[in-house]
Amino acid sequence: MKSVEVLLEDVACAFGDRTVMSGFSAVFSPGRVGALVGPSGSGKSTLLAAIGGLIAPSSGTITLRSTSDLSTSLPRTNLVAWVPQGSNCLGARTALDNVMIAPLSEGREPLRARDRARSALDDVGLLSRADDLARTLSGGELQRVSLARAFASSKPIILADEPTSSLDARNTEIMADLLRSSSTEATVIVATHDPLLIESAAYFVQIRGSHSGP
Amino acid sequence: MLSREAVKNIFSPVARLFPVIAVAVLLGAVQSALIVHQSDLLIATLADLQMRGRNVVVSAPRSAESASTVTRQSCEGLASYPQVVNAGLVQPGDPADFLELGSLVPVQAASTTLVPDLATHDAVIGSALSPGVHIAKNLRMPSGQVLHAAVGTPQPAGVPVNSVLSVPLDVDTSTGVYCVVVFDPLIPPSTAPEIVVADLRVTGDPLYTSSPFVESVDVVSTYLTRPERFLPVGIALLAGFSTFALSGFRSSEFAAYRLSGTTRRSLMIIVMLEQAMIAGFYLSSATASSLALGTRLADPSVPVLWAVVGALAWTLSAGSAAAVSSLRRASDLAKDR
Repeated sequence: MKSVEVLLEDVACAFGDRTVMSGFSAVFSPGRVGALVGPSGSGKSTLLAAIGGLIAPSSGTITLRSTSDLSTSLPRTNLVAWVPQGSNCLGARTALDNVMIAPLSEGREPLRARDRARSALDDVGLLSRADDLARTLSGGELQRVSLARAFASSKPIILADEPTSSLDARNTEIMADLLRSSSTEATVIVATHDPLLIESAAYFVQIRGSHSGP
Repeated sequence: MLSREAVKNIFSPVARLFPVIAVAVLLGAVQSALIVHQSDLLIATLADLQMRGRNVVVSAPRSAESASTVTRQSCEGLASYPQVVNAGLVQPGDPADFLELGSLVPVQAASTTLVPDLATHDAVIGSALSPGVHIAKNLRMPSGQVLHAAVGTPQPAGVPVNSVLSVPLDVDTSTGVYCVVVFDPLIPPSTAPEIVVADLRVTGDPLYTSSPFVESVDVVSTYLTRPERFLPVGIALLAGFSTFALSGFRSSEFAAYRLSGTTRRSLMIIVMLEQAMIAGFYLSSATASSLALGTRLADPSVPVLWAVVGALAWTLSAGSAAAVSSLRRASDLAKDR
């Protein structure tokens, strides 16, 4: 149900006259963790935004191909869970609350959402801190809460944008382990230039920037 | 889910919006207190002006030679008007000697609709005749008759009872010369004489109406049109935009919602619900303060109505402004620090 293949064909993205990337084609396999690799400024975040439906590519096509009965005719924003660069959270709410908002926003009953959130927190090793306020968690823990939030949703695609950019080596290693051992059925695309994360992925896709314009 | 989120975002003691609730409660109380203070000033001013004869209308013959009278029924009938406090005839009589008050005490007959104590007492002693005494007493007239008399409270200028002994008008009296009308202090003074002239039935020459005190500026209309009356809305708007400024620090929270799949519409509803709840505290505080202080208000509903307007202004200003920031692209919200 969750497996979605993401196909990109000759995709170009531009902001005004400035082309960030062009002629990019790739396939992200369903239900696996793929790394989108490239140097800073090569357009990784822009490409993720295009896959997630936040921006429209200036040319080319992005196709989601379902391997089951999932309707890919839904807006892509409804099919994507994000793990952002920073540790975005509700600081005055518990870690559990922070994770629960994903299943709740999908319309799940609070009790079911709670169970799902606890399970996701368990997956990222934070169940013991479920009732702690998010503001008391470290940056690495908050990043794991973001990952748990994505796991707790039933979105078929998880897009992680440089999830370890603000983490130290130890926490980066933890994130890499979590992604490697993840049992999620979602198609995970991790934009990164971190070798540890690249190693943890099942495969990687290289992106080269194509800057042009004024 | 949306109301659950709004409630949890507000009622956690460590929530960013929690102190705003305290501010809302404080502002609600301050707003009511301000209105009560302004109302106090108005009431004190009106009481002072009324004692000087504001809104007291006396109709009398234009001159001593004038042969005009007014019917008792039409004069006393004015007392039943909602704008009128007291109204009735006054008929000067001959002075009399009393053991308790002295000799040659001025005596007059007055309508019970003008001097209500005359309905339950034989006479009312003017406040200036018995200063410092407020209890009823018996007066012995030279004829030996004993009058059970009340001691009157000071009356406004123009109501000629303070320095005389008032007794009830004889039942046979059907006309008089002087008709005194005390209007409600909140009635515009300019309309008071018109009511008297329009409804008094006069025989003989036309009556002349006058007021002992004519103000150059109507304090009531000045009060009603004062710019400070918009203060509650100003306070609410200021608080609302301050709350909006606070929401600038909530980009991370908004991003967490949006990146978790919460739609723009749902996030806007959460934000609006939060602001509505805060405005509710403001309204409740203002209402509670008004109830506590309401006895001192000319109209206790005024602070509540202003608080309703203020709460709406608060909700709309803070809510719509914060909602605008919730409309930003999720990835942009995530990058805000």
